[in-house]
Amino acid sequence: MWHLYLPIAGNSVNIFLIFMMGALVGLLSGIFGVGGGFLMTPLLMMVGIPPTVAAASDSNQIVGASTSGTLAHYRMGNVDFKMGILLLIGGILGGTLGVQLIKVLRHMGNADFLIQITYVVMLGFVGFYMFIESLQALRGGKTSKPVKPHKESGYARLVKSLPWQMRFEKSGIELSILMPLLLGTFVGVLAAIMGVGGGFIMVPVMVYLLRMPMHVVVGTSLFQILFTCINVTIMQANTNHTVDFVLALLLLIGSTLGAQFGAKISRRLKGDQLKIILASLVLLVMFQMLFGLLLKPSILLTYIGGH
Amino acid sequence: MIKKSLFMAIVLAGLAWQASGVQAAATDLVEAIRPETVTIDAAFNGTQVSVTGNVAADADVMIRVVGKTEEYKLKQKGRALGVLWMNMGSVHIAKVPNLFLLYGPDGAGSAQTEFPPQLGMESIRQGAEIVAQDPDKKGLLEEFFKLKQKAGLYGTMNKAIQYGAANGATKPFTASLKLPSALPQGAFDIDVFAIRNGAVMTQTVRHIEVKEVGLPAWISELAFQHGAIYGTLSVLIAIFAGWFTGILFKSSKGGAH
Repeated sequence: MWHLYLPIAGNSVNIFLIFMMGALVGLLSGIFGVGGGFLMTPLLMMVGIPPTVAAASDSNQIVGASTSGTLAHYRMGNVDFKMGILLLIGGILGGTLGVQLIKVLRHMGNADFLIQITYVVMLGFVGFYMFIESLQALRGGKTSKPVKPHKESGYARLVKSLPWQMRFEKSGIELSILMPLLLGTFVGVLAAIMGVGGGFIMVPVMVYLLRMPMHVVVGTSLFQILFTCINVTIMQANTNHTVDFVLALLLLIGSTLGAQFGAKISRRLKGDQLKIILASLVLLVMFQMLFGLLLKPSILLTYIGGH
Repeated sequence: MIKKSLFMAIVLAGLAWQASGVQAAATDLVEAIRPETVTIDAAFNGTQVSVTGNVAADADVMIRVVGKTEEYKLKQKGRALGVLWMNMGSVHIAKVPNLFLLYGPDGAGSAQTEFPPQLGMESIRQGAEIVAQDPDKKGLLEEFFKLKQKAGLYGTMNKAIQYGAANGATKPFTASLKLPSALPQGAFDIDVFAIRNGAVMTQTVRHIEVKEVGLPAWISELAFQHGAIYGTLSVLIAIFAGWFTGILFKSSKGGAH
């Protein structure tokens, strides 16, 4: 009765369950400016969707959710288009580079090992740093302040010395064009290796390395994710035939609604509160992955294609 | 060369004719299969196929549904650095069916409750071809069975067959074969066995066809034949849906922000 058959996934799912999963991930996406692929793909695999179809259909769903989220944040004046486009150009370069890199790694063997370790280390590092930093800020900014300028100076001097400085009005910062381009490339490489949209790395990069205000970070990140996922969806549909549109549509209905509420909640929270919740989430995923690596799996074989 | 192959073909045809003659001579166990074509529409969530027929009063009926043989490329999970479980070696498994379901009778009034091993999983074990670095190929195959069982594509279902009152030397049977929601498309064999004392007395093989119809068939066609158009459409609809919800939310709040 409440089931719908998914032609590409080749299985049927409970409509209500998929809708709720979409709403939850959409909410997170709207609040934090992340695509949510890191959460959605494992959830879909739990209800019997093959890993490749789960990942590809999820990127189709993210297109919808991030359109909705970008629009909501744009109305609040939270999208820095100039920065977003520069990051995007870098991201596409990095993504192409990353895909080639992973081919080489696969050829050398043990690529999966490297991917999973990168994942855990990156998430752990980013999560802990964000958590501690925002905790200090929440406790009364003074404790963290004396440390910062001291640490910053070298990095700040380097940033200032780069050519092609440009003013980013929306973010209220002045930077060399090279910064977002290079950092975009860096995140693009990592995202391609890890097989995710990269929102989880992009947000901390924008906050800590580009020094953008948190609210603009969320809107700009969503804008950038939108284009990354359009690219991924079309490529997956064309080469691997793994996009299940029916599944994506079900998720979409939930996630676009969730993203709208998320954007509103995001507006109500302070930047440091946002950071600490996001940091907790990152750490949670990191621990979950770590346990997955440490515990003996119940089945010692998997179909090829998952990431 | 042509002559030789023609000769072979005639011999083979003769053998096939003879074989079919033998099978026709044996009693046909199956009266009807409903439906003979399983359709997968948008509301499909697994289905049941009913098999009715007659069997010797002192025998039991066992049925198996077998899909076409396929090749599978898999990854084996192993321990790296002694503690971390991750995908390590590649495993290639061939000559195993994509679906293998066994159906046994209701315990009441039947002597045979276990599937004879040579008709069950053992038949897959004997036919399977496994290529892997791991020397424990048997263990790998068992792991593969677990994967298939999890999706409901391999398994044994008892109490799927009921008998009616015996009518002289025979008794009627009705089987309802549950098929999973992850059912692949294609042709499937329905092997019906009459078993006495663990040995097969007679065997009837029928076929069912599984195919997508309506919306799923249309989407599959578009996705596999015109991937680029399908991908672009999926993206456009997603953008439209996201944009539409955005508009909806804006107007409901009177545009205040």
